[in-house]
Amino acid sequence: MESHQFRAMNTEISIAAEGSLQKLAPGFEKARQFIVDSERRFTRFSEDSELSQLNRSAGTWFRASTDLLTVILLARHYVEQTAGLFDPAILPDLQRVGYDRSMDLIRAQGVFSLPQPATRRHLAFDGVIINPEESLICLPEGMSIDLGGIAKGWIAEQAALILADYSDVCGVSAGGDMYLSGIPENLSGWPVALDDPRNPGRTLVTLNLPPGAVATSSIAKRAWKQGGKDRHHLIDPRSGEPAETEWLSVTVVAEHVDLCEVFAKALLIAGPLEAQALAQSNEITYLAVDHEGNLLGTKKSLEYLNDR
Amino acid sequence: MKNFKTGLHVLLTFASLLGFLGGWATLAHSRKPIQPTDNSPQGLDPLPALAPMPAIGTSSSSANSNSGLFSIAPQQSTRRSRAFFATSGS
Repeated sequence: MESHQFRAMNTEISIAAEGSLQKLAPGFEKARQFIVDSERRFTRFSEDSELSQLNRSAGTWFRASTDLLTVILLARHYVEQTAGLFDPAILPDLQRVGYDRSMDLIRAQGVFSLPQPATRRHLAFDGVIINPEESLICLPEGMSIDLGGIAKGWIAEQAALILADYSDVCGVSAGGDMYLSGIPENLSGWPVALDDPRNPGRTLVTLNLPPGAVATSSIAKRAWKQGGKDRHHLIDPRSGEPAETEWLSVTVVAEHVDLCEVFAKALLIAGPLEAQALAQSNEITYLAVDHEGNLLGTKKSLEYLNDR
Repeated sequence: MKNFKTGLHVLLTFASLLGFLGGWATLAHSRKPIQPTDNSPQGLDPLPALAPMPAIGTSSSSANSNSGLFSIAPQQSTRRSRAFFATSGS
């Protein structure tokens, strides 16, 4: 298995594939270039990105690229599927609690703003008007959106599909959100370490995954202090504040990375009391880690532990 | 009339005494009642033994009734070296 690592989208990107490096090198480069180009398109931290242009166009029609339109359509679908627990329109709340620059900058410089209460309910994403035939999007006036997680998952999967033209067995991981194609030689699945969110680098279990996707959402990593107050990046759309949840992380195994990413986030916000109904109605397989480091999983998830 | 009454008294007294003695003899020769300390009384099936309660946190996958999730024991060794990728949230 050949591999290639680099940093993009404020996270570690890892690409791996079976085959000779000579044959894989153009595939690695194409996948890397796609990720770099997509980051420029979807980042909210650059005024020039297509997403920032869309946010500035709120109240008017905006002609979107095929990629942006695709992710916006996916987002609208998942807002409905999660009953609004996933909502890209929480961006103003995310900025209010201090996540107004890239996480790399926040880690280096800290947060300057002070905690302020949520002043009003944010505009919900289901108010977005989309004309797919004309590739037109209209955000309601005053709305701005963040596609961070869902875009990252979608980009990882598209990059893996690019690499799949060069190898039947390959995978792309964007900060632990990954798409896996084929099955590695002499193995029954992809061994993927599920890390302890309290102690990154320490493996809780090694999952044995089939081709498809896995993603983890955690409140432990993208966390900071705002005026002495603990903050994290997972905003509960119902309160506009960082979610108060009994879990530290949720990992979802499914067919597509965007689905995994969205439901990992929604289930983590939902917490133990509401997650069961949400997961059952959408047939979601997931594992959760609580604040004491206890690992819990759905019945289906136990199948991925069968090599223990 | 007086003789009839006297005879009736004698008859009732004799019948009562006979009934009392008969009951006493019956009870005296009957089988003893089952004692609570008897662990295997004849004619009764023994109660099925209950399975021991699983200790919390010791099984590799025990059900959590509150959330419908199963508790999974972490693996003993980290074994990171054999995993191609790791997922922990970003």
